[in-house]
Formats: sequence, structure tokens, C-alpha cells
Amino acid sequence: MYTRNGFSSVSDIWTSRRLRAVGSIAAAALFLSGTLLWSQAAGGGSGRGGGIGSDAHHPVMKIGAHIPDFTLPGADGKMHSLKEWASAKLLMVVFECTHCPESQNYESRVKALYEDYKPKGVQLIAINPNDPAAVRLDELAYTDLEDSLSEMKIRMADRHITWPYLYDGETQKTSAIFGVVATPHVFIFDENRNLRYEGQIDNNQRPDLVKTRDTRAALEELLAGKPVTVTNTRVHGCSTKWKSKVSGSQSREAEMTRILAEQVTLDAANADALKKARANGTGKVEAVLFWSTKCDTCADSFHAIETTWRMFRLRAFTLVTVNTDPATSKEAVMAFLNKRHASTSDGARTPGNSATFTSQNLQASVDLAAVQAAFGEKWKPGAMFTMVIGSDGKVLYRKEGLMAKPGSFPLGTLADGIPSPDLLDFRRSILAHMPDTSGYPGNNAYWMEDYVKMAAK
Amino acid sequence: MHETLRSRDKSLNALLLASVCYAIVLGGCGTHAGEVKPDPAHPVLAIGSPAPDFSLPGVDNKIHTLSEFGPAKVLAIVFDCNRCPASRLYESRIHKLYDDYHQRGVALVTVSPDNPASVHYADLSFIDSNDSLIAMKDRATDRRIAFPYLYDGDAQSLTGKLGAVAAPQIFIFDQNRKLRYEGRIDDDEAADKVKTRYARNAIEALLAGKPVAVATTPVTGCATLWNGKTGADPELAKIGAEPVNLEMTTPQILKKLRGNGTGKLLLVNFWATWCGPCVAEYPDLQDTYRMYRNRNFGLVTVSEDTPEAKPDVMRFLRNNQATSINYLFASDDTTAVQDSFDPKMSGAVPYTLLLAPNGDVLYEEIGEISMGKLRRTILANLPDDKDHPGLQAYWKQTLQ
Repeated sequence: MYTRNGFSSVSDIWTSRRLRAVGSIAAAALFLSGTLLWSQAAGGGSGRGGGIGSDAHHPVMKIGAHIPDFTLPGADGKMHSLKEWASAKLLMVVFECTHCPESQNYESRVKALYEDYKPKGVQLIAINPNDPAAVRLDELAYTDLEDSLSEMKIRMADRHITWPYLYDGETQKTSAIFGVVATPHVFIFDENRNLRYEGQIDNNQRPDLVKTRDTRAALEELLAGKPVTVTNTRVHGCSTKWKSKVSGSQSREAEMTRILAEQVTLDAANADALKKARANGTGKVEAVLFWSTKCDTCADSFHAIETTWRMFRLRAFTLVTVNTDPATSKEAVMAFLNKRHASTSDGARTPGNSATFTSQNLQASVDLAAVQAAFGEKWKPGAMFTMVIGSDGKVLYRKEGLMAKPGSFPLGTLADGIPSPDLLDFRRSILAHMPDTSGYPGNNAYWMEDYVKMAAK
Repeated sequence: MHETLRSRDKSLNALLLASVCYAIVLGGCGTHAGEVKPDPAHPVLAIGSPAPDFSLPGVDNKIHTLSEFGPAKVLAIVFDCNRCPASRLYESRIHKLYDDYHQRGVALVTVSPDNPASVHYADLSFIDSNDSLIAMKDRATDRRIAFPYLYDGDAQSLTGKLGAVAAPQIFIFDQNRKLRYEGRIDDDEAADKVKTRYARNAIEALLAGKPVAVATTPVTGCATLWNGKTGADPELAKIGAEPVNLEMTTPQILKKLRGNGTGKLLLVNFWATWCGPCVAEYPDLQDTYRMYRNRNFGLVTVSEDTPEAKPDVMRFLRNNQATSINYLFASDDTTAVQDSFDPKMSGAVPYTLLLAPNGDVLYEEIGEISMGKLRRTILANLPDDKDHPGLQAYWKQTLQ
């Protein structure tokens, strides 16, 4: 079973997967019965009670239901309970998370809701419902951080989040009672703490296309002592990452198994290959990592960059690693790459498998001085050197030496640790320059805010 | 670990040979298959010969060798593979052989002989997964395989030394690891029509210290796909030549889509270019379509991007050679468009539904799909054809 501390022993994986198989059969039966109920509930008229598009396993809390009590850890390092906010006229719970691009997109709107309505007696609290171990690396293509409590703390500080931000990923008990469909998902409770509205913040993640501000409308009606006209709206965003997704064929564990089976290749880095890497004609954002077998911190940093590569590799991003030890045997370099599963492709297309990314591992065929001359950069022999190059050839990030904090990416595991500030800068340089898809601008700009601050340092 | 997938031999000779092999495969994969003949280049091990040594990776992430079965009185090596329908029909019988005999000193291992690169889409029309070690691990979990299940698709070394003709084929060795029986497990692929249980008879004889009465039988099932000999997948070339289309949806199209009405089992996937899990699972959806599209099955993918993202959506579809029916939301009023499909549909993507011809929802997933479970649900809802009796029942049973 995959944990944030890495894989446990092979035999443990086996046992837990087999036990899990029994559980999933029971879940399947539950699922089928849930589907029937779902069909019967469809077409419920204008009231649309019971939540729209909810997961059959986790029905959405019904309008009128009383808020469940909870005590959860906050990103401020304190424990928080419902009773803290007893004096607030209205209580609004926003489920949001760190990794989800739509959650990020709505961050400024959540902030505005908090600031606009706090003086009117509305307490906004945010809860992250996700189990970080249930999020695969390829679902982390738009984020610098994952959904753990430690990483929420970093986001809270970086983005100046002033509202309470709680973590329910440990047990998900509270999130299950709410029936959180996706992040963001809003629940508004009246003075008696009975549910009066549940659903979206507004109807479009693009601010310029918003037509209905459903959360604001509900708040205004409640503050005016009126009944809420539209009580349930369809939630859009990233589906809740329930613990059930920690195992199974689409889990992070299964993703890791696939990564282990991917191809690792090694080519010669002659002057031409290095010049080509520096020019970056790939049309993508490119990270180039120079490392040596004689470098103490290279292994941790290499692992941190490989993890980042696995997160972003389905977007406009490519990676080149260059070993700078021409005298070291190819076998020794391959052993290093294999140990870290530095895959360069997921294989040629075969039925049941598709090649979806490519990267390059190179080994210098010339000495370090010649490598540096060809690439056009200088760094200390034996140190790691990292660059991020834009699709236009512009240098976006340049770092000599330490990247990951030693120990934060433990060797021998595939697990990722808490990213070091260097690593966050590296990730944000990439995120701020991979293009948005044309229909959904916003993510790029979100990361550019961080990048501008970083570049000013 | 997987080696580089070997390139297919493109010489004229190899192509001729390949088409011959392919014909055998097609014949051999049917459940009413005739005898599969041994490959002249890989003669079947003669009765009385010693067991060849091997060292192969298993679904338990360990390397397995002949010597680990040292104390067993009998060793049975069964060729079995994920992609073979006949193997699936024998699955419960192979499990029962293990269950009945492993406490009586009989060791049983199954070996998958093929490289997934040799397998064509047509081979997978009645199957949920290919012959990769990863897919084997998934099957081992799903079907609760308790014995070693080994992958020999890279070098086909054990397969070659034994001269395995097809899956399922059983090789039974005595305590001195001399071959005493080789051939089929019993005389009928339909479990209820079996009269002679060759493998059980051989094992019982060996446990009793008696000679094996019938030492070899002709094999039926899925012919071994020898590496480099199956040629390029004709379906892949066909798919490559097909157009990739993208149509703008209207509320009418979506409303009709929800009711199905195509007469087919229909998989509908809502996705967006900005959605990480959508983009990650999309190639697998196209593969699923390619596997089953020659049966009564269709795929519709609906992008929830805004209309202005059409060039991005089109580029993505082309990269995936998405020959399914593909739509893009014609309006940026996402909620209204979703309402036209179903007022209760999920607003989160990916959102995937499997619709029966009458519009009933057979499978629904908010968030990333479980590809194995989805494919098994598809297979459980497609009727058998005359060459594949019993498979729909098998897939139904896997869902229980």
C-alpha cells in the first residue's frame, strides 16, 4: 500500500491489495443499488433536492439538515471546533483544496466572499476534504503542492489565506457527512445551523462568463430573512479524493507500478545535444538538470525533479537530465537512473497502452569544461545545476547546488516529501510558463504572481 | 522489468509468415477452435525430458526459478494469458487444480508467454486487458490468483524451451522433474461438457507412483505469439487512416445522447483539456473503443472546454487519433449545456457513463474511471457471438 512514507514491503502490498479486492466487490454492489436510487431521484423539479451530480457512495447533505459537529486541525497549527463560530449569524463552509486548479481559480472569489460578508456576521471556513494519498501524480499537473496538512500551511502563508482552513483528509468523516462532490463546494447554514444552500460559488470558473452568483444570492436572501430561492446548484471542480481511491487500478499505487515498468534510456551528450538542449526547440517548457555521481545532494534533488516531471509531463513540459561524468561507466549511470525510475517514455503504442510523453537522459561524452562551454553556463564541478528554459529559449530559473532539502525526498522510496523552497521556485517557474488552454485562462496568471515575487528576490 | 518493445520484422518473409500466424491466432482464439499446431522453430518438449531452468518475474514482484519448487512431488506449468478468451474459460478450472492439489505436494505456476506488443486490437475484443506484466498484476488482484503468475513475454525463454503451443497448455513434471504429461487440461472448453480430465488423471497417477496413461494431447486455445512474427496490427493502420472529427453540441444532441438510441452499448466521457485526470485517462478510453468497436459498442467523448478552445481540443484529439464521435460544448454557459444532457449530471470532470441501448446507466463514475472495472462492465453487457460462447457469463461473474 502506498503511503506518504513510501511503499511498505512487497508482501504488504500484496496482502492489502487482495483484501481490498474483497472490499471493492461490496462497494460495487453498493454502487449498483446507488445508481438505481439516483435514476429515481432524477427530475426532482425546481427544488433539485439532494445535491446534483453527487457520488452514489456519498450523498449530499439535504437542505434543512443540521450541521454535524467536528473538530479538525487547521493550517494555522491549531485545532478548530464548530462551537468557535457559535456567535456568527450565518456559517458558510467552503470545501477547497491545494492541488485543484479550479480551487486555485476560485481562491480570489473565496477571499472576496470572506471579506465582504465577515462584517455582516457571516463566518466563512474552508475545509480540505481530500486524502493526499488518493491523488495521483498525473493529477498534480497544475500545482506546486499536494493536499497534505503541511502543504496547506505553505499555501496559506504564500497566498495570505486569512480564513480558517481545516484539514479533513485524515478521516474524511466530516466530508462524508456533507457529501462533498468536488472542490470548491459551498454549504451555507442559517442561525440554527440548518443547511439552506449547497452547491457552486457561481456558474462559471471564468469570471467573465459568470451569469449567476448563487452563493452571494443565497447569503443576501438569508441575511434579509428571506427563504433561499435556489437551494441546490451543480458543483463543478475537482472530484473529492476519497480514501477509496488510495488503492485500485486508477490509484497512485497503480500509477507507481506503471512508472516502474516504464522505459529508462540513456544517450550520449555530445556538444550538439547540449546546444540543442540549451536552445530548447521543443515548443514546451524544458527543465535541464546536470548531475554527477560525485555530488552528495544530487540524489535527493534528482528524485525531487523526477517527481515534478511525473506531475507535469502530460502538459507542455519536457525534462533533460545530463550526467556530467564522462569517465563513469554507462552501467553505473544507468544503475542510478534505474534506481530512481527516471523513465524517458511509457513505451511505444500497443493495444492497451499509449505513449504519452518523452524525456531524455544524457551522459556527457566530453569533460565538464566542454559541457559547460557547449551549454553556455558555468557551475561548480560536482554540484548539481538546474535550469528551466521557456519555449522561446529564455532562462526562467537557474540554480546551482542544493535543490531539495536533504532527507525531504527519502531515497529508496517513490514518495514525495514536503517541497523545499528551492523546489517550489522550480515548480512555479514551470507552472507560470506552461500555457493555459485557450478556453480557461487563469491558472498561468495565478502562478505568475508567485513567479514575479520569486524573480524579484 | 519491461525491455524495449521489439520492433516488428518488416522483411517480406516475416510478413508472409506473420499473416499465416495471424490466421492461426484468429482461429485459435475462438472457443470452438481446432487443434493448434506446434511452431516448427519451437518443438514441444519430449515426454521424459528434464524441466528446463527458468528465472521469470511474477505478479508478486518477485523473480521465480525452477529450484524454488524443489520439494514439490509434482510441478505443473500452465501457459495462461490475460488476453486469451480460452484461458479465461479455463480460469476457474486452473484455480481448482491449485486448490485441490497444492496441499498434496503439487506446485502450480502459470506462465504468460506473449509480449503485449505482439497482441493486436482484434485479439482483445472479448477481453479486458493485454499481456503486460502490469495488466497481469491487475488480473491477479481482481481474480485473486493465489499461485505464481509469471511473465515470459520479453525473451520467451521458457516458452521456447517447452515449445508451448497455445494457452491454456499444461506441462506436468514428476518429482525428478521429468516431463510426464503435456497437452490440454481436459477435453472440452465448455466446463459442463468435459468427459476426460487429462491433467487431473496425470497428477493422480504421479501422486500414486503410477505411469501416466495418456502422456500427450493436442492443444486448442490461443496460439503462442512468437516475438517478431505477428506483424503490424492491421487495425492500427486502419485507425491511423480514419478522420478525427469534432462537432459542436447543441442541447438537442446532448438530450438525445443521454437517451442513447444508437442501438449500441454506449460509453460517454465528459472531459476537458484543463483537467489533469481527464487528459491522463483519455488514451485508455480510445484504446477501449479500439478493442470493442467491432462489436455492438460505441464511444462518444464530450469536451466541456469553451467553444473558443476548439483548436486546443482538436489538437488533443488528433494527438490521440480519437476516431470516436467527439463533441465540444457549443456554448460557454456550461451549466445550461450540462442541464440539456441531464439536470442531475455531475459538474465535475472527468465524468463517465456507460449507457445501455435503452439509456439505462450501467456504470457511472465521477472522477477518474477504474479502467478494469469499466471494461469488465462493457464485456458483461455485450452478447457472445458464435465463436465465443461463455464469455459474457464469465465477465458477468467477474463483476459479482
